[in-house]
Amino acid sequence: MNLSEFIKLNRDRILDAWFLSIANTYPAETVKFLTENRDKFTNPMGSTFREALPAILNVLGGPEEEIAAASSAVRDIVRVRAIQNFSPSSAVAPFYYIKGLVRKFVCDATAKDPVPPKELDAFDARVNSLLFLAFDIYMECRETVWRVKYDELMKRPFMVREGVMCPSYLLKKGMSVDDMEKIGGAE
Amino acid sequence: MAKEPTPKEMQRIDYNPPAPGWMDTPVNIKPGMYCYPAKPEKIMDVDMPNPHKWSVTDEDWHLPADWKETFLEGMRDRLNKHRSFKIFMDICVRCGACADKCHFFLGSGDPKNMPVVRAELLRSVYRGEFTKAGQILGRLAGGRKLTPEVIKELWYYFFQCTECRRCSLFCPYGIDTAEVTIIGRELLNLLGLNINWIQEPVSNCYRIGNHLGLQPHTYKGNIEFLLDDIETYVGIRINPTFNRKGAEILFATPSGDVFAEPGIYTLMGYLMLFEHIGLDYTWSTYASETGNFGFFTSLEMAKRLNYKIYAEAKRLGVKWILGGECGHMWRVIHQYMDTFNGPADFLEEPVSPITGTKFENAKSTKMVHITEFTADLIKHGKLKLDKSRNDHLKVTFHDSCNPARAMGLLEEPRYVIKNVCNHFYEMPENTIREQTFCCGSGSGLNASENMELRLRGGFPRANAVRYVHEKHGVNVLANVCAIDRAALPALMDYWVPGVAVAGISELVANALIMEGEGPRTQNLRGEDIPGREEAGDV
Ligand code: SF4
Ligand code: SF4
Repeated sequence: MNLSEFIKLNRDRILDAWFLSIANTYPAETVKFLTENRDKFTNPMGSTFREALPAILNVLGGPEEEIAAASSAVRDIVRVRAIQNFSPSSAVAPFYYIKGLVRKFVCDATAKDPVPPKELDAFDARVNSLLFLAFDIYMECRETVWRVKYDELMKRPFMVREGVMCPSYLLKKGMSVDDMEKIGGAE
Repeated sequence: MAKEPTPKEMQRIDYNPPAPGWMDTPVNIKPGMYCYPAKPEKIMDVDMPNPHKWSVTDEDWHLPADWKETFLEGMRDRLNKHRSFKIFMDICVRCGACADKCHFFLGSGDPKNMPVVRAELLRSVYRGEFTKAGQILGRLAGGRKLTPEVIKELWYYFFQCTECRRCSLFCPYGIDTAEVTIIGRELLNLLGLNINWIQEPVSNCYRIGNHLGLQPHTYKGNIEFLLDDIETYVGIRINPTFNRKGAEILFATPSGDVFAEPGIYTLMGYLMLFEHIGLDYTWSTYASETGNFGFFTSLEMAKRLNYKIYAEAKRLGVKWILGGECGHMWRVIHQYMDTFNGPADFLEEPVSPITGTKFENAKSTKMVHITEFTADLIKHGKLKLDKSRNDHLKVTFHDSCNPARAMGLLEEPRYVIKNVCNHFYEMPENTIREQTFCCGSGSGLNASENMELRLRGGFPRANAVRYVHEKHGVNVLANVCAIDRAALPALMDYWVPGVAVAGISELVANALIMEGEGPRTQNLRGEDIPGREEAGDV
């Protein structure tokens, strides 16, 4: 059997196991909640993960050059983990887990019609590309956090001097920082 | 208070108690999750106890020598003074109904952000230090002793609660974890452990009148800037009055509307609305803040700051107060003001001078919410509106926690939006109205250094916005709260790019047909209104 057929046949089991492996990166009390509540809005984290994984698995079944097609689904997951208590490597680790998971499922299956090892190697290579993609997206998210912080500071008058309008507004009006200093200043 | 649950209701509750192991998980303080400590001089400004220099990441927080007695004595006082606090310490059955209702838990997955565990952090000290069972059995009875490590844990997690009260909605016993946080923060304040993002606004507000410390001439100057903008974009000159004695109404609003985007557009909206109806009102450069960060410090401090608005109303001799779009301010007015400083019997029961409507709900506090006031104007056909000017906007409404859960302001904002915009879409039912998800930055947590915390806490809200953004093309998140206007843009930027944040009064003003107005090809932000660039208003 070729690998993509195998994945198709075992799709639900693989996805469940993959989801559980992500849920398990959270404390035990949280795993139960993430797994059991299926509501999109009262369990946003669980539903985000659950909705993103099938799209990624589909892409993993295709050619390596097309891994980028998984970007938006990968972003959905990484955006959540990039602002949580994870180190960068743990934040993207779930994309690595799928390698071992698929191998385990393949090995456990009856050996009557085995998946050729070559296909597994090719799958591993695609997972590697996925990991690179995830890391790029992780960095993109972290940079967004910093940009968001910066933009927010620009809305704080005391960036310039106590008691003036927010710099983002004044810049929009074509004022330079020097001009702002002149009109600013409560004292 | 919720009534006692029926057996059937109890069955519905998911038995999901916190793992008993939480006490063994040491507090792990992470940058991005906390705000910087209060500056000692800002604590001294308002005569609060134990101002001292300390750093969150230091081993030693330099607690005062008698820290333990101070904390426990403070706790004893409050157990005697607030029956609610005593009850909340005693009756939780750890049923778990509240466990998954907190936006910080939903966004972080950290079990200590389950409301039940958050309260348990303090409840365990109560058991360990105040109850016989806890003193004898210790951990077996869920008790523990107060140690400097426990103080750190309390600090970390009470400043990860926005006091939004979503959890209390689901508790069959009516336990309000927000109130536990309020008391918890009061106790930490006894040790000088406030955050500066709260303390400095408190000091500024107390000494000068508003969070930022805008002096009267700067406050007025900023509003004049915005009047110039109105002249440019709308083509009319408005000349409001400041500190005018004998005006019929005092208008007071959060100072965030005076200096920061996008709140300034909401403020332009107020100015235009009042001009449109010819309201006899005045601004005050002293009651220049309705936000009350004292409320996030101690009830005593909340009372002191709340008093300033009423003292100013008295000084100016107005009949009643009209309040702007703000969140927690309305909780303070609606639920605390009367006990703090009421009754405001030197003011009159508010009556709209335009429609004659009596605002009976404000009979005692004498303060009316701008959205109620506007809804009443629209209902009586007093506003000339061209809602097609907002046709490029697809709007959804975020119920701010306090106006929704503390004062039941649910219909009026929707009524106003639907009358000034043609495209309005609700977010899913379990994320709005009383069940609304917090912005994640309330209760004085809208600093920037704790951005990861805010982004986690704001995730459930943003997730629902994203849904209507993708389904209906929603591009405006409307609200009636200054902290929302300050905090939601960051949230949208990270989670749902392409959604702008606006106060309702901004949307109203863009639709208002002002007497003598120009072609109205631009909105209050100075952006061209699609389809009107060339032809002009028709
Ligand atoms: S009041 Fe709000 S922030 Fe605090 S524990 Fe309850 S749900 Fe969480
Ligand atoms: S606070 Fe209320 S809902 Fe939460 S665990 Fe205790 S009794 Fe249950």
